[in-house]
Amino acid sequence: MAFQTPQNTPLTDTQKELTSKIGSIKNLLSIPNRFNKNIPKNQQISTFDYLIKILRVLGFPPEPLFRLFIEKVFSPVETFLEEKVLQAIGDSLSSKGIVLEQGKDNGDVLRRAIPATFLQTVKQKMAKELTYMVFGGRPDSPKTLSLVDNPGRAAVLIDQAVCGSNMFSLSNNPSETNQDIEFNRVSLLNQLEKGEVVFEISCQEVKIKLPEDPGSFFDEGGILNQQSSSISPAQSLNSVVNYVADQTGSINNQNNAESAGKSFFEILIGKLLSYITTLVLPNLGAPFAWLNANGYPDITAIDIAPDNCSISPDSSISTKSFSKSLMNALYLTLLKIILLFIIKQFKKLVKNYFAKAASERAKRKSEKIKMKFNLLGGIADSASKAVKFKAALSSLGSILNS
Amino acid sequence: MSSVIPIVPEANLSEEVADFMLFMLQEDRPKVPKLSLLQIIASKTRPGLNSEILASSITSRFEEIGIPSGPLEGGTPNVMEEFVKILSEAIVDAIQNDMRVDVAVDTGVTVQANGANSGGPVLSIGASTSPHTGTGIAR
Repeated sequence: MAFQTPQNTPLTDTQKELTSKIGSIKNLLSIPNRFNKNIPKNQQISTFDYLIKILRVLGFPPEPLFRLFIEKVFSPVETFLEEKVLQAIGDSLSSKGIVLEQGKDNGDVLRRAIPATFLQTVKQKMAKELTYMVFGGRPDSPKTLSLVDNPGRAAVLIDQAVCGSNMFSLSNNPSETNQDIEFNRVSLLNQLEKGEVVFEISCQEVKIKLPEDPGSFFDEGGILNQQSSSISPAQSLNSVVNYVADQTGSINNQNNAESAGKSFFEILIGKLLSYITTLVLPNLGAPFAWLNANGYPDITAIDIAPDNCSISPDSSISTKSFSKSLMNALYLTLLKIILLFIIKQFKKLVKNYFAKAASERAKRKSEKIKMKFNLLGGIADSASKAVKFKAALSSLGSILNS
Repeated sequence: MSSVIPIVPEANLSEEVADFMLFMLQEDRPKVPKLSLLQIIASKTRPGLNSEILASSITSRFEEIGIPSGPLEGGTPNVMEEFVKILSEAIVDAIQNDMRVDVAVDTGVTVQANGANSGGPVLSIGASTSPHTGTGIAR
């Protein structure tokens, strides 16, 4: 085979420039268009998830804000929950075509007529029932009976927890299929009946069991009883969260515990919103007594506020109305708490950022001026090059004149 | 499939949250102060853009963020410095050769004229009634 000399044909600058430009144009064309992503609202990240994302980027854990939300909902002195429940009853009545007073919102009429304290004495009970719906347990076990009045109610709560497993979601999850939901419901029922529920906390599955005496979280025996005789429902739920955090810490990988996955508090908030109808339903005596005495003798709580097992995706608007109004009202309040905090922190961050950037810029500028002044002394900018050079050189006089 | 009870549209505002926060960022940005007439006139003494000075200003700050400056271990050329040099040259070149400065002078510029007629000297003072345009070259 004949010897072949490798070709040596270098490109001129213009030739190189053209080939590079063609290459970069081709490259730019191949980049997918990142603009005009018209993602439908229901497929976008939910407002809650987005706010949590921003919160984490700002460097704040969301848990204290969740605690604020729980305190607001279960406050023994505030009437926030009562007002939202009355509004939800009003909305449900409206969806059935019932107008309590011409020209007035049903919710306003109910809020004026019924003292907004009708849930205050049952909030601790609601917190206990929520705990039972989250962790489950054999309906007749002593552990269960320290949280729930009787085994019958415990069985109802387990059914309601299973029915409510996909009642309301803090996240948009369009990829969840009916089969997934059914499978999840069956496995949740098994876990609740055993009292060993598996949670995905910080991206790792952990099986959590309540302690032998869960009543101690709620001021019913145990160590806490001796320290405080008036634990608020929010404090009780906080103790539950801390208990799960301790359990998780001993099971979960520390690296995962630091990751951005869902915390148990977030799971608890999601469950609270999904189960809220079930929790308030037995305690609506006051509003329905008023309705029965004021022209609507046949209306019952279950007609106006159907429980989780009476609602399906295909249910009518009026069937879903109570839960939709109440769950969304709580959700909006949660968003408000987080958003206000984020705005406050973001304003601070932006202010600090611009102040720091401006001060660094000013510092750099002043250092340049100082350096120039040290070098040139009082010589004006307009002075000749020779004069400036002489002045600058004088700073090295101690060496050059030695 | 989504949840049984949907989130109401007024609570589905993740995009609006992002828009609002970007707006806040934009609004809180300090405005660059307008230069005084004297400062603008004094700008004649500025040396003008120089790609080498710009590149060395940037590379001199590499240390602040942990980027090595100067030749690397074993005498390997510092590609980052080369990149900054090319980038500075391209930017300064584009500013000096492609950038156009369009100037518009609004109406109301005071005009003064001196002259004379048979009655003696005449001083006339007025203002321009139409805006004027001009061009400039960034250096």
